[in-house]
Amino acid sequence: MEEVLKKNKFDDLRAHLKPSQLPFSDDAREQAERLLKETDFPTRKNENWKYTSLNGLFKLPFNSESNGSVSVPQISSSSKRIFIKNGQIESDKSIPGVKTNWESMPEMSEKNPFDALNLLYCTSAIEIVFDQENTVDIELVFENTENNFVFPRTYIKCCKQSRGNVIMNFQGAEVNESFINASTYIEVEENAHITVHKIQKNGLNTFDLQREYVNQAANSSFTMNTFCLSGRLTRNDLNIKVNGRNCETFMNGAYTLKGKSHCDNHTTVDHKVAHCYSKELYKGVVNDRSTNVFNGKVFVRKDAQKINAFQSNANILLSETGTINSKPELEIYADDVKCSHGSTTGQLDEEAVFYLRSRGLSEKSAKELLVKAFLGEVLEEVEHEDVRSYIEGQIELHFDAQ
Amino acid sequence: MIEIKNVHANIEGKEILKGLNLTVNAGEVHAIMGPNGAGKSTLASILAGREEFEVTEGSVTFEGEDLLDLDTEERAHAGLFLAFQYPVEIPGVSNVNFLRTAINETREAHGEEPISAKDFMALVREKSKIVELDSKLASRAVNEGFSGGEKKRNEIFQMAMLSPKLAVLDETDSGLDIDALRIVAKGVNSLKSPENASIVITHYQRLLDYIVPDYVHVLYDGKIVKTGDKNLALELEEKGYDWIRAEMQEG
Repeated sequence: MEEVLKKNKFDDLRAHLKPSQLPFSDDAREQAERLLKETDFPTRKNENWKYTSLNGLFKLPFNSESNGSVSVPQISSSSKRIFIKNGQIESDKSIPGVKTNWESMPEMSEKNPFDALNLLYCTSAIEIVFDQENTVDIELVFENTENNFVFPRTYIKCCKQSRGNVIMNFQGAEVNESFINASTYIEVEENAHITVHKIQKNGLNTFDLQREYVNQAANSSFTMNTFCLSGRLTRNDLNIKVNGRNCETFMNGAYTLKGKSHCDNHTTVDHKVAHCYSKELYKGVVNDRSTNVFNGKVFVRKDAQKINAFQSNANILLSETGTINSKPELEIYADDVKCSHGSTTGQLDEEAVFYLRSRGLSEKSAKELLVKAFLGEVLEEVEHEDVRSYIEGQIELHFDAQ
Repeated sequence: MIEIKNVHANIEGKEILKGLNLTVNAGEVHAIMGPNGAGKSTLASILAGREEFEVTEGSVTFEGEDLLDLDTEERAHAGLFLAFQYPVEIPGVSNVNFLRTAINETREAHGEEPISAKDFMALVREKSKIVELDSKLASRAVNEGFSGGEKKRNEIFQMAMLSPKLAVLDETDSGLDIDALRIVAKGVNSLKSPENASIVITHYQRLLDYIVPDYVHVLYDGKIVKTGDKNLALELEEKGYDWIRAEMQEG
């Protein structure tokens, strides 16, 4: 009897959502339903959510009210773009390699309740396949100008011997109060090379929970560049399984937080086999009362010898009231590996600020220059020139708006 | 150009400058010498606007303006330049990049248009020659991995780029070998004009062989206690500061 009365917090959330019309299987639906019933809503007691509270989700209006407009930049000058406005796919022109229906989308393969929620209430399903013919940059533009729920499910496949760039560009109106809950599955086949760039420039009251599930086959390379520029709460769970030998994995992240922004990047690289390389670099600045959480985990399995894995997180506090929680983790079961991890938190070098000011730079320009230099290390890792210059511009804007 | 009147300054409650007076006119080179702890670097610091130092009494008028009322960058815009005793290394910030911002913000403060990329690069080429600074060095990150001599040459290069009215050189000779000293001095001399002036703060007379001062002042215990021409520097080199100390105690 008690069981029946106990109301799950997921149910509170689901009351605001409209079930998806997409034709996924009954099996998947059942599996998702079960997962949502069996899983407790994450609280701070849960190790993975220790520094991030989702209580604010329940205060979102879900009223579809309009917030005005947002100017949406085209990041890559050579990309084909697909527009997803307030959750709904808008473009109808066909792009080679891109499908906007369900068809062969993978269904429930992960045990994450937010992934289950994403499936049941999915607002857009997009499949992108790079092969030797389809190599043009694909840009998914998520434009959010209404207080909605936006649940995109994206499947990206990079076929053998192919290359690709995907830009996931989330842009929200300044006062937007949406709930974004995105799942992205990425399949990197043998000898394939793919980079996914994610830009999260959300409205100041937007909640954005995202997960990427990546599988890498032998001799492949995968790069994820994550840029958290604005939003009330941003949580990314990047999960990479390196299943084949001779793989390279790069995770780069930059964040510029101010106001009451809360940003949380959880990353996991699972080195299951030998002879692989992974490198992670997340850097950011934390201003005002904002908070950054970083939790990076590298697993090296028992027989995964000769792994080189590097992980680093560096933070600059620009205010006395910002918070940083950083936890780099290594779990190594092999005995012939080279791994390192580190985390630093500090303030801007006052002496450098003074030096620059004594040459005529305003305090703002001096700090901006130093922050750009600090984040420059991450941007150097970004090979896509258009993406890099967009982010550089955003760092300048970050200071302008203060 | 600059008039420093009865300046008293504290750091962490300790009085360092105790009524310093100094007037510098356009076209002049003034050397300030003095023993350790006399307040030489404190003088440079209050002129540049370091916040740790508190001026408790007196005034500094620069080109008719109350200097102490200006922010550090406003002092630079007004034409004041400080060559640091210990130039700061700033990884990731390119030398020319930041100088361009500095020049443009100064021009903006004067209501002028920003400098064109072409003119700027021409200026970099012209001015880097003055201090024999490799143009590669000019475009590298500010002072990062520079030798002591390169850092000081970079200070003079920046000074040349910004063409200040008044340059304050804070122990620019410290840590320099004789060749670097000559190059730095040559740079300073070539920037000399009837419209600008410099204050050279130094510990040793050596630098003054190359940068010939119009006036030499002895700073002792927070005050200027003696003023003369370049021969005073030679006398100090020969006799040290003890005779000044003795003279002070007699007085």
